[in-house]
Amino acid sequence: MMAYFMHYLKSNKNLYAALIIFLFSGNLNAFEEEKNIKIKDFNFEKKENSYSISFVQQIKLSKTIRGAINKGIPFDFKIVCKVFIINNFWFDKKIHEVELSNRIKYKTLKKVYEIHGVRGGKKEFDDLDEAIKRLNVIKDWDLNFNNSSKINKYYITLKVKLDKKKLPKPLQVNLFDKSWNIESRKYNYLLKDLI
Amino acid sequence: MKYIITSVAIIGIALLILLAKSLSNTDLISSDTFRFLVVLSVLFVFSLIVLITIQVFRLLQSVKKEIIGSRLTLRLVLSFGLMVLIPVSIVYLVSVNFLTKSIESWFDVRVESALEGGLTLGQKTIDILVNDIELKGKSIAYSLSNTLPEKRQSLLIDMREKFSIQDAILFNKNGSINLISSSKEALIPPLIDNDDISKASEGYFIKIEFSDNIETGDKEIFLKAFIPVDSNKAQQKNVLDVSSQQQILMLTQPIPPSIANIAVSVESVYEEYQQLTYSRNSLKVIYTLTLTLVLLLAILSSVAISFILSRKFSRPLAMLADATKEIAKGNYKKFIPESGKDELGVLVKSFNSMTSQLDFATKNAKKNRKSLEEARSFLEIILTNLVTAVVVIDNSKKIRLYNKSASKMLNFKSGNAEGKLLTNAIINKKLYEDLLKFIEEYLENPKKNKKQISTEFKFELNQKEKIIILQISPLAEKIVGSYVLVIDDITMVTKAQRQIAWGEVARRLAHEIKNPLTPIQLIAERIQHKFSKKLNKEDSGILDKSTTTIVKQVNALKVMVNEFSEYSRVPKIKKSKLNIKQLLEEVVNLYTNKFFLITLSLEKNPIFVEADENKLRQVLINIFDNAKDALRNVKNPQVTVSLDLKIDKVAIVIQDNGIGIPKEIINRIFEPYVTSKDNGTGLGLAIVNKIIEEHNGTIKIKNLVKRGVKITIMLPTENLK
Repeated sequence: MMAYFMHYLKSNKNLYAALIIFLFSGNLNAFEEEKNIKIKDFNFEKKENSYSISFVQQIKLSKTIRGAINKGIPFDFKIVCKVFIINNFWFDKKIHEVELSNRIKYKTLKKVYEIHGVRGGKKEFDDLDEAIKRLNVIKDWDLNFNNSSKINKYYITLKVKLDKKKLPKPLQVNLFDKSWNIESRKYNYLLKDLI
Repeated sequence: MKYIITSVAIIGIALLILLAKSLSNTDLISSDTFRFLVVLSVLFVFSLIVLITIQVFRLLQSVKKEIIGSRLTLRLVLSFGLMVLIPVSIVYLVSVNFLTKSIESWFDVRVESALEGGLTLGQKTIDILVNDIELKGKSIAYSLSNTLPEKRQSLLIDMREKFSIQDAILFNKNGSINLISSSKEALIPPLIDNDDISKASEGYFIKIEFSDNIETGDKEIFLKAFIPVDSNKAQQKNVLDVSSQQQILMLTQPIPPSIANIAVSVESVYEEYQQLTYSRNSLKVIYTLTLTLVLLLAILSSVAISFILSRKFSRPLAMLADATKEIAKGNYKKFIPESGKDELGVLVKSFNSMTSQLDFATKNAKKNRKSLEEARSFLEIILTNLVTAVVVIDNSKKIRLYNKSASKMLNFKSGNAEGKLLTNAIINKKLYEDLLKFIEEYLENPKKNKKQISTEFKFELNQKEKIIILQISPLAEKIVGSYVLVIDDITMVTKAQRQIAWGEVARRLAHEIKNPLTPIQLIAERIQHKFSKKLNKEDSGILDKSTTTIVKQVNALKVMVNEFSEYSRVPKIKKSKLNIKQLLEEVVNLYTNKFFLITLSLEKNPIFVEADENKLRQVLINIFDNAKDALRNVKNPQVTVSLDLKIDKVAIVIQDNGIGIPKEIINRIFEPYVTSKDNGTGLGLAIVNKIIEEHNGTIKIKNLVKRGVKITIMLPTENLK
């Protein structure tokens, strides 16, 4: 979205309009609260018929969450990737969306940490940090998207968050407990710069 | 407003049901829906608060404006509100307390210890079994490595059976099966992961696998031991690459189902318990939030509904109160819609019945009052137009009723005289002193005041004599202490009667005197004629003087008799269209520059009246003759004559500067034989007055302030228009 605004700024050179949109958009990254998942080392690759992305997540888990994991409560992290076409005069159009779900769970009987979903496999780790380290690396995630053209301009949004729907119901619906809100901000990447 | 409140209350209850449902059924309502429901419920709570605030504000406004029924509605709302608030609050507090304690009771330390113990037991059991299979695997691997390939199969079977292992498979490094031995008759040879091969190449490891038994549905736990098997020394001599000769022994041993089921079940319960433990605070918060919302929605909905119910209850009473007020104001047409068969309905019905009866009675009373008013009005009109004065007084001489004539005749002070004392209402008390004294005496005398008494009073008003007759009587037998005074002005009647009486006297005198006058005159003349020559000079002179005196006096008597005759004659006037201006000029010409100075002020145009010319000439001549007599010894004698045309009258004003008329006789100057002149008969002005009256006119005479007399004759002109 920010990329879109930058583009809008450049293409229209309408500073006043940009300022108004900036003030009222509510999408001000600079003022956003600090998130406990960060994404870095984003890489975008064009394959034969598709595109794939790679990135590294930095998931910071609180003591409560680590304790919960050690007690056998499964945690699912959902990564949502959306592809948008930039529209100069209207809202950007979403043309593609893919999701990836990774689970970390401590098997109490086996006393191992299981990671599910990363590239479809299941891995067991004796140490939680090792398991998270594995969870953090997303490599060659095929977006299954080949609809690009040179006429349009695209950007990708990426957001990682703890899938609270998989948590026990009371934790899902508790409006007042923020300790279970583990998510990243929405990261935007202009494909123009990457292709 | 009624429908809004009902709708909001129903939606609120529906929301609460959904909210409660969402906590118990995870599949039906998602967490987002729950949040949405919570937000919606909060919004409903706020909207109810706003609605109730508006209602309370309106109700307080109504109370302030003292709108009927508002106080009752307020009381009912407060009662209903308290009726709901107290029990619901108690239930809420008990529920929250109970809920919190219930949730806390789930997390007993002993339960947690037991679960952890069970889990540890399972873990230890698995550890023991893992150690066991590890030892067995190492032993088999060692034996295999020191056995020739052709003997390995039998060794594997023997050792598997000896160690009671379910499956024992020796894999080549490329994943192909080298040797296999199983306790199962039909074993489907399993595949081995490359990861496991590479991991096992580095050293042994044990895998624990969980699965479900398709046939029994039980949980199964398999221990899989991967142990590297080295080639024996005999083989090593003929092989260059040692690692390529390494094989992997995989032992598969299920944990006994009884232990596996318990272990899996303990793990599952432990995890669920841990989930609950972490959900503990959230559960408390959510249930408390839901209960709070339930409480708020219940109380607010009840309060909102209490407004409707209160209004429903208070409306008929308010309408009754309003209708009562209307009836107090005299509006008997107020009808309250009847609803229900309860006590209120019966009350409303009775009230309507009473109202209609009152309306009927009032209409009758109104009708009667109207008749009375008409009768009263009729009487008032009669009284007002009555020439006779009518005054009703009470014992204390206070005026209770009087008519216009009374006010005029008794000369009342301006303003309403009703309620005033009769003595205070009259301006000129002295003039009516006798009359008031008489009334006082009548009222004070208990014998007199029950009868009708009448008496006549004479007094002088504005230089004129006035005669009134008072008739006083009690108003009615039943109305004690009220008396009616009927006063008639009989001045004119008395005057007319007097004129008739004088006319009769004059006629008789004329008749009786006139007849012998001619023979007396003839005899006197004959005596003079016969005896004057026979007597001596002296006697003849005496005779002549005497006879002449007789003749003169006879002539004078004749003139007087003629005047009497004229006064007493039956009116015979011959009216015709007469130019009064012309007549006036003719008469004035007779006197101009002879006896006095005449100043004329006449209208330019001729003025016509319907009159008898001769009679009017007689009137004018009589007046001018009187003026001539009055101005005889006056310096600068003057007479002013004016003729003015009024709306429907003509005014002839003749004014002199003579000696005037003595005060004693001016009031009776038009009566016969009233004269200030030595030789006057006193009939001149009486005849003048009579002629003017015969022409429907009026004549007024008054002395001027300085000197002289002013005579005003008014004659009607209306008939000529």
